[in-house]
Amino acid sequence: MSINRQGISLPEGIVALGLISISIVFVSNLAMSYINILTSVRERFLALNLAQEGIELSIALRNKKIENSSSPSPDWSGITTSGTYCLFFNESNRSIMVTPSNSPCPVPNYPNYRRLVRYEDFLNPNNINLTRSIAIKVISEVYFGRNDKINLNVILTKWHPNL
Amino acid sequence: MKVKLINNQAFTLLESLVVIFIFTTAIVIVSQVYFSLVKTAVLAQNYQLAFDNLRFGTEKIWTEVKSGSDFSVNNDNITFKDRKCNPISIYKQSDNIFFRIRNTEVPLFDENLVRIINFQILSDRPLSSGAYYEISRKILVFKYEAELKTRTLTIPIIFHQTVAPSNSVLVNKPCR
Repeated sequence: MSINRQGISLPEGIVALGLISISIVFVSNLAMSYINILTSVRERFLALNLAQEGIELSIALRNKKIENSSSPSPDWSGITTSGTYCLFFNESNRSIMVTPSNSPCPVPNYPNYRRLVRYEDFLNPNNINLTRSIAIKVISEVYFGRNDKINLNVILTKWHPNL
Repeated sequence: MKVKLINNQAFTLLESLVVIFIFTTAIVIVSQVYFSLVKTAVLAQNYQLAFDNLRFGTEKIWTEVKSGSDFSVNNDNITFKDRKCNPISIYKQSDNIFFRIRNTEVPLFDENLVRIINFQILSDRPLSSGAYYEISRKILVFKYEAELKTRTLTIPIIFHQTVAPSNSVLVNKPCR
């Protein structure tokens, strides 16, 4: 009868330690990815709010036209030409600010977020003059994080007698 | 007769000490990783609960305001009529936002999960007289400064919600 008195060789020891290290790193990464997912949820919540704000501002801009015009108005949506714009609510004079822009604008109080609102004729996307449109598609785009983007859209229609 | 030699030597004190040291170190490392994982999971779960609570509360405000009418806005409170013409008030009190319908007051957020530090409401300035679409508010902005509470830490969050009420372009008040 013989008994194997050999110890653990160096390669065996290295492999065992390697496996243990990998499993520890994997478990730690698992914990970190959990936190990262929640951070991402927060980022997306804020981005979605801002995209929704773009849509609400475009609706309010059209509704403001209804408020201020006693007769049908050509720029019924508040925008006359299709293209991209930056929309903001100005807290000091309590009005909606519209600025034409080709690139997304920074959103006040949200350092890592930029927004762009796109206006186009819903029935004829080639039509640039929106005063002739009866339905306008508004797309609110919010850019955040590395390359993340959220889009929301709404169709504004010329339904009110004052428009 | 062939005698088989068996080595009956025990471990030396040094060998035993080395083994115990390695074993203890391994146990400490593994338990630290395990406890940090459990701690992270609990933190993440609490954070998610608090965040969901905040989201549901703010969605409630958004939905009611979207379909509401006849808004009266102050700095941190708003009154209006809901779609069934019930009078609604939303206001900040202590560290929460309250929702009052027909004299029944309900806190919007779980005080163990969400703490409201600041709540402000802004709106446009419509005309002072005329048809409802002329005097109604077309845009309302709700600004929140809150803290999400977990057992171990609080996470600050600042954001705002913007609502363009659907009824703001009607000729007559929806609730008369």
